[in-house]
Amino acid sequence: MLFKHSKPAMFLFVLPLLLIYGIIVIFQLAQGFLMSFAKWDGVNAATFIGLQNYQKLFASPDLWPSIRNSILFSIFLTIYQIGLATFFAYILVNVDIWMKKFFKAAFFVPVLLSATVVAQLFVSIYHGDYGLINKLSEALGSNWCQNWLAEPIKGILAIAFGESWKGMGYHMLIIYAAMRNVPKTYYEAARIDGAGAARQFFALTFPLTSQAIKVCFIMCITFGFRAFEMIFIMTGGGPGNYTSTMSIMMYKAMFSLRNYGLSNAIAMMIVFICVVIMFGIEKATTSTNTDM
Amino acid sequence: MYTYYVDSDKEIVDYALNSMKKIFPNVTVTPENRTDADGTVLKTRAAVGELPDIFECPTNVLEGFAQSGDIVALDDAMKEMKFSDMVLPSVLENRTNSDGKIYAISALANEPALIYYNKKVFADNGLSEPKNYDEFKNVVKTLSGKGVIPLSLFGQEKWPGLQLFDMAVVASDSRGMAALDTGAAKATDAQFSDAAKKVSELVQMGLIGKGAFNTNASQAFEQFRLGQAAMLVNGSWFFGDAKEYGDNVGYFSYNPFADAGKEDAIQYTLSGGMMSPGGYAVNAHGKNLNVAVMYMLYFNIERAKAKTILNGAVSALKEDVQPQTARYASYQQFADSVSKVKSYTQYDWGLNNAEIKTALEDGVEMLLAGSYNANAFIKGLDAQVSAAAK
Repeated sequence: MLFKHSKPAMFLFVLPLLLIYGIIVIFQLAQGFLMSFAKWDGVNAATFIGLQNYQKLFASPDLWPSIRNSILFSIFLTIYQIGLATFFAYILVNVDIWMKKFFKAAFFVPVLLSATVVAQLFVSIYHGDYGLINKLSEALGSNWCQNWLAEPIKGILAIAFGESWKGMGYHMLIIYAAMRNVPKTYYEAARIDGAGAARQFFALTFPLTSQAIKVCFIMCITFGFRAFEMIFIMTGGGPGNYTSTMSIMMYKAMFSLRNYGLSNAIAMMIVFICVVIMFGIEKATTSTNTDM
Repeated sequence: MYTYYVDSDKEIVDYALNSMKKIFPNVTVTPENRTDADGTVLKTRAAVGELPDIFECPTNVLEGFAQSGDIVALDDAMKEMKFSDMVLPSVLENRTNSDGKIYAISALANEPALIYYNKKVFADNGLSEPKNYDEFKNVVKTLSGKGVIPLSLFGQEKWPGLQLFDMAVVASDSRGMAALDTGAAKATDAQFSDAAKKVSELVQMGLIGKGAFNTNASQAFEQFRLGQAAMLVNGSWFFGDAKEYGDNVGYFSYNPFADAGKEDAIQYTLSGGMMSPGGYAVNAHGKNLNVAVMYMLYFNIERAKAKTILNGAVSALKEDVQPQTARYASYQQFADSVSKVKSYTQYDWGLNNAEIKTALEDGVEMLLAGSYNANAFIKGLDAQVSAAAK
């Protein structure tokens, strides 16, 4: 209502943000897009080479393993983080437990830890020779020693577990805040109508917090294609391309292959995939929006 | 001056800078910590016109800087100060850029890749230094059977595994994997498949630990020092790092991948070469250019002296320089053998073709992980090398 009769004023107020967004996001994206059609060594002038970078990308033996790993990473992350975050948030909001504040803080502490620290922690757990899991298995007299980080599917899921553990608290807080905003009177009415805990959750809690869960869902799914630090520190994407993801591929193109153009082509592919996923989720969930 | 590649370099560089005060008393130099290994920071600084006056220039950015005119050609200055009269010929090998000029220099001796062994672990298991592949297989089999990790590989970095593979190639062809880089050999040539078969066989026997690819250098050194692993692949600079291990460190003076009967023929064809990729270069847009170039050249000589005096490194200078502390037995044995070396290859970071280098790194990793057999390795390598050649 404030700007209903004053569109110039509205424009003036959003202009600074638009400018910052334009410079930091739009301009950089456009530059990256242009660079994806060029050959550049980072020092001399870039030369236009058309679609060669994209041809190289689609011919790369690392591409499909990287996409597979990114998808697996996203799925694991989403199931773990959203699943557990929703569960813990529900418990903290609706169940009267002892030391609630302590648990809220405890779940969030891993979020504050540096990725390097968490990565090294999980390397110490997964290490094939002296890792906690294998040593525990030996101590229990078992021969079950796994090469957690050096096998194709096992490796990426092991890293995804570490990443999930680190970030779960962040989503839990978002979902917790959304659940806290569900009016208590709704639950009272549901109880009077004879609805049990499960029915209350699916009929009330989940629909009324779905927007928050959707945001977390999009963040988790797209994060799998952008995840870098934990993978880089723990395995570097190796051995070979066993734990490579799109972002690791992008890093490798820039710093190992020294092909800035190819690196930008991979970056554009990541952006494209994330945008498609985001719009897909938005479209799929639009019809199920519930406003009360 | 952009320098201090690693912590252990600081003492050497500072010693050299101190010596330089006598040669250039009116020149003040402010050393600056090098913050990258692959030249990324240098590229960024070059883009904004803030290259240091003198800097350690990695091989992979040398060509780019030379083409863009960011670094000075050193040939005239080297002739003026008679640089070639001060150093052994090996210092000037493979130094020229594609335009035939020298843009970066280092006066350090070639430092080959070696396999070190823990003498106590070997003695406890009744083993001696292997001279050929059959003896090496026996060493690996014995150690693996006794629950000792035969070879501690810091697989978090790709180069140690690649260097091990290069040693296996050198057993058949003294050019090693560098021949692939220069296009002088094809991936399907016999020396690469022979090397892949040997490495694959050793991996099946338990050559490296399960967690090798998640082990960093410090952890690998500790495994080696404590005897949890019996052997270690590293450059000859490791002699300086291992001085605290004393006489418990030995090295294989023969290539363990040599076929029986050929040990002596290839004993002095070594894997590795220049430890410092590229060398010191001078910013072409800096002030006092002539002084900077001469300073850098003399600094290289002083730095080479410092490395010998402080670390016991083998000298590549014609002047006789001795270490201040006597080298321990195996280090002295190595130093005495250097004059017999017939050839070196390259380290991973010395390979010029980035695609071939990456293909080798990834392929060897898969070979060492046991995921590729020799055929799969050669097939993958050939496909990527052919694609890189297009």
